[in-house]
Amino acid sequence: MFVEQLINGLAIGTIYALVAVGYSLVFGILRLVNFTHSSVYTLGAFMVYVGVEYLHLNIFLAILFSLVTTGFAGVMIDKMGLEPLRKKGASKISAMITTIGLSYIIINCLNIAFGSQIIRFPDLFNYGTFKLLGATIAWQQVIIGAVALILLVALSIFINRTRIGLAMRAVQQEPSAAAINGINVNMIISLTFFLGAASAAIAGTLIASYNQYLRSSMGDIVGLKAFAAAVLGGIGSLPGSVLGGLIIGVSESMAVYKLGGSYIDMVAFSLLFLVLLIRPYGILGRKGSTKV
Amino acid sequence: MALLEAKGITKKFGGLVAVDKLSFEVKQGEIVSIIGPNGAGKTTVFNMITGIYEIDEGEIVFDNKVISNKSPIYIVEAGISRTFQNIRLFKQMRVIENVMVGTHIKTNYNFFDALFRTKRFRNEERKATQKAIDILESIDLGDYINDYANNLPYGLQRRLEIARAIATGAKLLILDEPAAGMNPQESENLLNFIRSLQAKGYTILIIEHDMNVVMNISDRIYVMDYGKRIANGTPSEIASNPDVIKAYLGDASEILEEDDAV
Amino acid sequence: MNMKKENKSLYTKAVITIGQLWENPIIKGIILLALALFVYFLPKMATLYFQRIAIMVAFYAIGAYTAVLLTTYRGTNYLVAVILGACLAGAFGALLALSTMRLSGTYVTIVTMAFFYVISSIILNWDSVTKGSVGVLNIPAPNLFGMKLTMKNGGIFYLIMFYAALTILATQLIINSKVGRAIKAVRDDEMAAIMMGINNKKYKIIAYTLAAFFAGLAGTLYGPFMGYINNATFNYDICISALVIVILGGIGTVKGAIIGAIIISPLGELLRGLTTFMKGLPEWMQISQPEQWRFVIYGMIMVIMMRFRPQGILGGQSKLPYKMPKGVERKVMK
Repeated sequence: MFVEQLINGLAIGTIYALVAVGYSLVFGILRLVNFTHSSVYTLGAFMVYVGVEYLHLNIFLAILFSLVTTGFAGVMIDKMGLEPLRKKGASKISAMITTIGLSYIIINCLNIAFGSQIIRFPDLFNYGTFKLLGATIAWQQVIIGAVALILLVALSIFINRTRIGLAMRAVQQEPSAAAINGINVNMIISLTFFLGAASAAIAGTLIASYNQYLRSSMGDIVGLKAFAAAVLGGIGSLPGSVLGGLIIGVSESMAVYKLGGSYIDMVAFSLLFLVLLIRPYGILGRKGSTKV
Repeated sequence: MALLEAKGITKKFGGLVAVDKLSFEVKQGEIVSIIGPNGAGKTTVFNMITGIYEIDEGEIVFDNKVISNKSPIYIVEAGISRTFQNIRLFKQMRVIENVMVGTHIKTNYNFFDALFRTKRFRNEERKATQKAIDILESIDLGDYINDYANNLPYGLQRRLEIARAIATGAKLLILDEPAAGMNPQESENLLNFIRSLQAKGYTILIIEHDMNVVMNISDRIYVMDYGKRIANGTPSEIASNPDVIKAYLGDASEILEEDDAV
Repeated sequence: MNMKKENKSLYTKAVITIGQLWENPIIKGIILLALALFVYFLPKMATLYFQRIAIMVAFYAIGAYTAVLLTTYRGTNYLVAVILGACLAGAFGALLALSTMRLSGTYVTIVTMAFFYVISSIILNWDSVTKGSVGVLNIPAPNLFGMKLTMKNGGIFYLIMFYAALTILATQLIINSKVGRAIKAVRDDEMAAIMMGINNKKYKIIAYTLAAFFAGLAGTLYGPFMGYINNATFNYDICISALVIVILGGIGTVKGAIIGAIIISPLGELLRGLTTFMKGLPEWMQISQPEQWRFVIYGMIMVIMMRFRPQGILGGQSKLPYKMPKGVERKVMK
């Protein structure tokens, strides 16, 4: 049981990490907790469903379709909702409330279109199980973890090794200086939203496939936990988000293993609370990076 | 008899000694200025006096009471009140409310008096409001009572900050760069205002960059550089002190050498 | 004959519909109003209004469950149960204030969010006491000095109106006193407030306790009004409704909260009415899910208000002169 739970925890943890990275990216650049993120995650999974069910695409095309549409939705959230506020010099709280409002619009539009009940979703990685150290492990978990991990590595390479990534980091550090140096700040912000939304879409799809269902409320808890993961690791820090995600994923499944399932949702927050008491800016967070 | 006396106070941030065994005193009814180049540790001194920073060494005595390492609230109650370098009014509150917040510690009723509007509440509240109005009248802010603090012109905001400090019942007012960001006309008005405060019996300690203000208003001046006191005396003494000129303009001989090199 | 009968039933129906249209929203609105009002009191350290409201709902749930469990299973006197419920919520408020004192910004946000989740998790899982998702059924009608207050005799309605008046009055009394000024000062600029001799910690605790107490008090109303409560009663939707009220009416004003509650509360019933009305129209014009549409509208209100009037309808700075106590006057008139 222990090994199974550990593998399971790591798999879920990488998904949390993938969502947490989205919070972190946007926070790093706008110093804003983006509350649309959990609804974008849900939207991503639904777009795959739309691709398969309504557009009759094969699954990979459907995922691609979802990546593009969800990523585009992410960009639109910024362009329509947040950019006008930035131009006006509105307060951070206005921006935050706008993201809450947009998130509510997205989720309830999904509700209106698809209903709030459970919808079956195909199991994308149903390749049976294998034995490891006497434990039975589903390939599905391994693949989910691996896909999320590959994406995280790719994202990190993109941000740390490419010119566009460099520009992103420059905007994070000092938007006005970056603008003076010829970086198109709004373009970089859009890109950030695109990346965040696309990675959330993948995460949503993976989870939907893991549970074999989707529903409009699927993002609520995952979103909160991923946010907790981002804060736990130190929001604004990419490695911090990954670490936070893994810690929360593993400790949750350990809690299920030791205590049973009923208090699972409390684990993440209790953990977060404890960590913040000792390290008020998260595990890898720096003091300066937490201005809200 | 000194109203405020700092005896060898020291403040370290990590390895950096921001204020180094500084001593100074302010006598009853004086206007004393602390000047010095940027980073000399002036604002740190203010933060030490008002209890925002703890003091590593030394002692501060005010009105025969040791106030070093006491809580800011204790220090306000002892009779010291301050203004800030970058104005920190309660922006979303009215002018009169700002001053009434200043009367907080002198307003003597509790939560339940407020909830049941007891006689004590009514008396105290009337007293506080009257006091706030009197203070505002006395410094020509009477016409702005109903305005919100963030709508006042800059110079009046400075003035309101001082009014708020007075309302705490302070004997010593500590002004952190009161003339910062003011045009010559505004700082001239401020000068007169500070003099009128002195005439009313307030003791005043100022940090200021504006030499015109400092030289015109101070009874005595202390000069700081790198956390240390390098000079003290009357304005005319300070103006001719070679150490001060060196601290402000750099070493004259160095300048000459550079000229030679060219 | 037949026609007339049909007409009459239609008329009765309409009356009933209009009755329902207003009765429910007024009661819900007042409960939400109580929630919204005291959001104002929570210091800025709870950065986000949404989080403030989330914890308000948690306090509200604490009040509701305490009162309902006591009256339903212990037969406690209604008034005693109400006071205990509100006080327990207040105590939790003080506790939360103490535990977030060291933290700042985002971290307070997450801790308060966690608080909301811990409370809902306890309600769901502590079966033996809270009855989990089944909830507490058959909550007795409040019994005040031998008088049963029910929906039928309108008693609950008056009770709720009384609470609303009480809450508004208390807010006004506290705001216009040194306590209210201190809380506002700490909210506006904590450092400057400390320099005025204000004990920032004390007033943060007072603010949280007050907010929690009145949220708890509002909570004690909900049980008798609905007749049952369960874990689903206290969800994010209530947070959102209260948030929209505050945003629409104006953050930080009593009048704003009242106006917001008046506008927002009937929205759900109106949409439901609209759905019935549209039954005859072609399918594509029908609004089939009034609840969902309500939330879409909430979302739009938030986005639009933030864009065009972030201070709310009645928010921002008052143009009325400051209300002076009697006997105070300006000595010099220029």
